[in-house]
Amino acid sequence: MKFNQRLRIISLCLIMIFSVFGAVQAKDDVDIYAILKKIDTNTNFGEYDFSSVMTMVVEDPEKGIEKMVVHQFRRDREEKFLLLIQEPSVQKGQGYLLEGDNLWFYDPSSRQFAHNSLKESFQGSDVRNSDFTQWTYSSNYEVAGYEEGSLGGHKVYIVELEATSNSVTYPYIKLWITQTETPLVLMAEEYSLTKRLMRTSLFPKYATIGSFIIPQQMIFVDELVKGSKTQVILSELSISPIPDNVFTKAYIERVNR
Amino acid sequence: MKIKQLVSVLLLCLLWVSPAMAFDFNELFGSDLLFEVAEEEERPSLAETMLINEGVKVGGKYNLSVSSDWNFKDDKYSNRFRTNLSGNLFLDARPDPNYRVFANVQVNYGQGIYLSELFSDFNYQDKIFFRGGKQTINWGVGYFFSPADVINVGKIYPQNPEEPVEEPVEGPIALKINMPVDIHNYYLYLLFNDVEEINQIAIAPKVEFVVGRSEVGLGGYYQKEQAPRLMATISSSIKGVSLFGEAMISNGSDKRFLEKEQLFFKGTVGARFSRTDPQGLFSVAAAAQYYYNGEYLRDQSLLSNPVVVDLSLSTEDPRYDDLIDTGRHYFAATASWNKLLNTDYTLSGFWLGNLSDNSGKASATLSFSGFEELVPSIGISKTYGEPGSEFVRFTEAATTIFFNVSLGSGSF
Repeated sequence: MKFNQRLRIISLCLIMIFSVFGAVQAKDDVDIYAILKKIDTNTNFGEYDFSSVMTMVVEDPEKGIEKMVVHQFRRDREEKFLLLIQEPSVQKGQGYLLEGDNLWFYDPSSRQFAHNSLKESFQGSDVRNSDFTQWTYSSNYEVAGYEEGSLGGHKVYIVELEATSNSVTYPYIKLWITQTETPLVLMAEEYSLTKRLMRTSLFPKYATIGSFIIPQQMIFVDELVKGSKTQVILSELSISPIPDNVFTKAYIERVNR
Repeated sequence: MKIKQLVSVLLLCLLWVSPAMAFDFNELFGSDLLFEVAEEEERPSLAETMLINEGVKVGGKYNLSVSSDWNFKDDKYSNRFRTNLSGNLFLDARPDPNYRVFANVQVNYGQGIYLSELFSDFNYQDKIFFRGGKQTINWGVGYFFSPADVINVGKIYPQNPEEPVEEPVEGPIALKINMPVDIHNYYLYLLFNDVEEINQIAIAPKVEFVVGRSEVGLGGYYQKEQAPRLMATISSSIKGVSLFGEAMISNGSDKRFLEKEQLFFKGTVGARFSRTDPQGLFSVAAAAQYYYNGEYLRDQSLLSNPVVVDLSLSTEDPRYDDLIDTGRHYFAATASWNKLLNTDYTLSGFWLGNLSDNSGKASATLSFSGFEELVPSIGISKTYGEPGSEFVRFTEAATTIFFNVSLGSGSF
């Protein structure tokens, strides 16, 4: 086979690959940072409080399917959240209280609080504790590159981010963001320090409540354990004020049995 | 040949899909991405609904396990079979968001039924919170040893070796007053156990405040005719490792073998951590803690004297506390490898030692969680020390192989 023929075959294969993924080099005038800022602002409740019921379906190749129901309370302006597990019954009453840099885990059987790390996975699922706080793409990452593409029939920007802070769970992230007036993250690939794909997060449904836009359905796929994924669906969403005493140890003790 | 290899690699690249790529993106993102949520103004808030019950909620735990021990000593062995049937039942009534009554009854077959908790919760304008009644109180932050838990004195070991008196730990009858201020908490406890006159009520104030990534606790305990105590705790975390420490100073001791007019210091430091690798092959957890006990027994030879030991156990007010926690230095550690290499097996080890008299207990356990309601475990434990030393005071140094099966235990 001649050199020119080889070159043609290689070129053809490369064109096929690029056409499959629909990747085309993006224009230079897109302000990706402004898009990230907008996404962060949409998911940050600012002066409002936020509460919801989260139903989590954890699929584990070993354990099978488990359902969890968690009540979530958020006050982003004070960096506070409270998560209270309602199901399964064996974990009912366990709670996570975040206040600034401090995260406490409450165990109702011993009636004790213990410090916890924000990066840890939530109850053995594919969800991390940090997934319950507001997104901080614009403040904790810098844009390493981007291109235009499509995903599920939507035109998107495929943005590569590098962490600028070691407080984040994943040092490298790739985002698929819709090219719409209200940008939405449809998919995120999260990588380790060695750039190994650790988790893929999908956000197929968003809810608008007041002026805020947050993912209402989330699917977290563990890329290292085949068949392991967690789906989270939010219901009973509210931005009504939450009493101050909810974000206290006293409240966790009061609602517990 | 090279072209064929290249094409094969490219085809493999095209065919390989990550688990996430298995989704049909057109279907997943096909319908409207956004929908609007309207707030229902009439609906009570989620925070409030959690404080109200219709009627009385009932729940609890059930536990049945059988175990068999084989004790080996001097080329002889003995066997002991035990059945443990226990459970608890709670009742929770919340007629109003500001008032609830809670009761918890423990049942241990062979030991009887006892009231573990019976209290009510109420508050003053959602600012000051009260809990009055029999309640579980935990002050310490330690994992194995908690000298700062000045309310539950004597509750020291998480795995008390061969307890001569199998008394469940019960909380006191008390009024707890809690005032959260921002991130900090102020507490006042009034304890009424065995109080016959008002001046015998024990008073225990405590404050918990946050400094950076650490939480500091300071407290005290005073009761007439008992040694007054001051305590301090700290808990923090650095790079996913939880660190904790406790200190306690008492003016005098409630132990009968010690001087009454003397300051005693107890302190402990420890760490806990857990790690899971991305594949879940190595899910490990570990904890270690050192404990300095200033209330150690100055004359250890007393404990080799059977007359003293018998006297201590046979008096009208037996002080089991006198016979434990007698050493000056202790160390305890545990490590577990959960879901060994992604299987249903968990391997764990535990060691608790009195470094002053070189006695202690160590064990290793392998458990299997492949069946939901049937959890078998097998292990080996060794109790060591010279005769009369703390961990062989009520039993002989021996090696034990044990087998345990939990049968249908669960919560409801």
